[in-house]
Amino acid sequence: MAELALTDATEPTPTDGDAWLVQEAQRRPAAFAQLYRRYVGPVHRYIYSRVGNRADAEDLTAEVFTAALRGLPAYRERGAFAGWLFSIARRTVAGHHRRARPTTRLDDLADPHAHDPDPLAQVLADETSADLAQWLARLNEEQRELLRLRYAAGLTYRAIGEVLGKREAAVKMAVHRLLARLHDEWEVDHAR
Amino acid sequence: MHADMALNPAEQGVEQALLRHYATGDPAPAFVERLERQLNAQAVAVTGSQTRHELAPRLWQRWRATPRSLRWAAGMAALLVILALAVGALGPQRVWAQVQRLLGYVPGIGFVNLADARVLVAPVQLERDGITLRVEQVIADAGRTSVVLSSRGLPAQGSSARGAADFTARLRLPDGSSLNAGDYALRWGAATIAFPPLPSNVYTATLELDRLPLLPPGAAPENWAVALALRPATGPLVSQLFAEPYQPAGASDTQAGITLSVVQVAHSPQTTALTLRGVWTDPTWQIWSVSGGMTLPVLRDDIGHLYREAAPAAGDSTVAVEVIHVEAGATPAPPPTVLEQELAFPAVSALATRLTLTIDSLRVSMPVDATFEVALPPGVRAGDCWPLDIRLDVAGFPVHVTDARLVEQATGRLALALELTGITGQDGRTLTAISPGPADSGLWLGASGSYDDAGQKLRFSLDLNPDIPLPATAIPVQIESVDVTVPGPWRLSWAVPGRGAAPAVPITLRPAAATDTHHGLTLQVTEATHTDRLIRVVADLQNPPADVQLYQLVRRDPGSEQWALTVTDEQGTRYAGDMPDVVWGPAGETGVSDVGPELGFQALTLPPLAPLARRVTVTFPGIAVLRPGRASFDVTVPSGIQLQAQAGRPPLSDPWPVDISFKIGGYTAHFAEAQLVAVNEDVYLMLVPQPAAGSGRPGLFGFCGLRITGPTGAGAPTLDALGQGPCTLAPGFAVMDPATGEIVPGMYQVEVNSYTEYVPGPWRLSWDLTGQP
Repeated sequence: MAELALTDATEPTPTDGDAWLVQEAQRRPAAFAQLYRRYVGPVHRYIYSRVGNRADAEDLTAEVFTAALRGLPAYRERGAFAGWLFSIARRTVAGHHRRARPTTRLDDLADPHAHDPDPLAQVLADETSADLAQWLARLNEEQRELLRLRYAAGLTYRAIGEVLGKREAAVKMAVHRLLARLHDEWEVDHAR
Repeated sequence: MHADMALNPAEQGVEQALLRHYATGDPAPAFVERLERQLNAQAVAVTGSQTRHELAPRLWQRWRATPRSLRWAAGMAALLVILALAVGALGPQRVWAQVQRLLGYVPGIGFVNLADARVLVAPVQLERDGITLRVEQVIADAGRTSVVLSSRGLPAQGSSARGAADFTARLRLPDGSSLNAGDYALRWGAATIAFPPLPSNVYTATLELDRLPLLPPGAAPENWAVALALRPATGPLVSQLFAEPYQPAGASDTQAGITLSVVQVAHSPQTTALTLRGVWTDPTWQIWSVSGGMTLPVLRDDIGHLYREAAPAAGDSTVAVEVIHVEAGATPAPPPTVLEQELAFPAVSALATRLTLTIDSLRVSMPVDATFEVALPPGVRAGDCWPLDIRLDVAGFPVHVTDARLVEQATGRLALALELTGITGQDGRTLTAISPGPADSGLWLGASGSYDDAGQKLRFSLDLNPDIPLPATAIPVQIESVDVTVPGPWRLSWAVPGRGAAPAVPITLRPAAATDTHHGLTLQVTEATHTDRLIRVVADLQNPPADVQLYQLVRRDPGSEQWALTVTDEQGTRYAGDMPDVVWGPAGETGVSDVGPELGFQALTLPPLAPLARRVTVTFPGIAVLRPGRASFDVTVPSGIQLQAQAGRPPLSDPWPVDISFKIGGYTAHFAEAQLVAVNEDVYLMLVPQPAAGSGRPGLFGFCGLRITGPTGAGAPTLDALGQGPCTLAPGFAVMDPATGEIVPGMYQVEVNSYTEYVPGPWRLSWDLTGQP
């Protein structure tokens, strides 16, 4: 198991540094490297949590940063850069799922992941993580997405709100409830 | 951890488990490095036009991936074969003409090869609920299908990042299948979208958009479908639809060892576009953009118009610039980097015979290898400031790191801020940015910086990692690259083909009868310059009272803030307001800093009249006049006041109540609130203004000539109001000690030595173009 890497140190909060880096990168695309270094870990972790294998996660991560590099001149700071970047990541993963399922009817694409098990469940080895994966699999897609954006991508509540089109307070409340529910169910499961 | 969550210990345990769970997705270091290299290569291509045809960058990337010696050999061989075939078949004079015939300038896309392309013969538009979606052009070739859109009447709530990220578009083909959008470039009200190539036998398609570009869900009608009919781009159609580029002769200049040349130009009815080729001698240098210097590139014609660089728009003209690198004293090698930047300017005057592109300075990135250590005082805390005496040679600059500060940022993280002097080098070069090496130690997460032109200082700040304790003694810093601004100017001048030899002379009138009088003041047009692109009007007060001067012609109603400048002719035809992208300066004026909306407050730049118009009338709501008057007042900055980060805006404090009243020039001024705002790494106190003067009566318009005395007895710089010059109704002044970076609380004394007064009209100035009164 990898060491815990997602901490505040890598949390892509919408910082002043981000705004400056974005301005620099818009003026001089070579400066994009610093944004890349800041976000490559969170983006890869998020995508990996969606697709469940490293090869696809790496391809899609590359796609996301290529799209971000090309789209950066059109980006206007209306919210967190992280929110914008992860919107691209979500769209990219959605496109990947569509390509992988060419016979899916259009109606099914309204929520292309509605029936996907969390792919991480397949790769977790230790018991706690396996329990956690099982619990995640019982959540609906929206709940899983909240946790991915918070704990795989490391987004702030505000940035998650921008990505999902929800109010920050609503996101915060939903995450709190999920944590409390997980804690309660965890205790019940382990008390049996 | 996420400090903003109030979790109980058990929930924190759950959070830890989730973090560990998702950490299995950490990327492999080799992948991170590989992707960074790929992105760096793409950044070179992206430096140019974001909207140009993608075929060239892809070929270029493939070319770059080839070993250098092979690239050179293959390139030379291919070039010789192509030239030999072309010259043999056509003769040398016709080669360029044949190449040119295949090229066309397409606004929103750039210079494209039209051979075997299918195009839209005329724009197609749809209107729904007052919003117009217009497909300006479609270029379908073997490589891709490019669609250029514009939209008008968009709702005022503006664009959103989500609107950009969630943008989807499809081309529905006659057989029911569809092509999904690949790359796209979106601007407010415009977009260029690239789709996969259309099948060769397809000439009709339907463009389907879920939403208009950059609009959030629900902001405007959705699910648009526009039927498109294409035709082969052959014969006279090409020259009718697309501006044909030409190769300007002699458009080249060398300064500071860097040669820039314009290699391609096109003029369309709404735009002018260029390509610049650059050669420099140091192989380690990179020039990412000709727009990276201290001022933006400027295009000037021989009539006196100055054209400001603008984002490409439908119907623009374009100039393309290419940069080639040749190693000094060595066999010429292929360029390590190519800059292909489409600079779009407003369409130049139809009467211009000669154009000059001026690039005031260039920003050059160069690698350096400098390391130093910032010693930390024992027990250092946020807010501490301590002197340093570190001397470095950075790219030939004798850099002196003089001060360090530990600053708590608005995000709560600490930053190590350094101040550097010695950044002005020989030949006028200036060190304007520093990039640190990768934070291998994990001590910092990123860096930011700013260049202080007035103080000739560079401020450089490392965003410290809160999860790693500060080292006990020192923080190591490695500088990986720097940006150096190299002064020019480069002036690239060329003749516009097919135009007369002598430049047109603008008509300048001094219409003595163009006057208007209100509230005892008479305003007179002192000079009106008419060209085919604009009218420039200069006005002044006629025989004003002593000590009264014209300060500004006011274009907006100060009560409603609505634009209220109108231009009409004798037939009642109304013309659009100001011309922000084109201005005019007297002949012989070569300065480039005056491009843009005119800040000369006594002048207006207006659109040109229709050819047969004989009389022009300009109406605007008021004027502002400068009058003498003295007043002083005190304002106190409370202790412990904090700034808070604002999304997309400078950090602000909460406003606090004040009660400041004083008389000036028969008016009583009152301020009820004050607020701190961070601007350019300084902190200013702003007095929140009272409501502006109403439209119907004279009133205070601004306070001028402020002098500040701070709590320590020292003066403080004042903040000009953007676009309003030195007089403003919202006075602001610095309250930060530049030595410590701390806000200095206490009482500040403010002296005002003059004021501006709004004098309502409406003012009407009218004159005859034939010179009749």
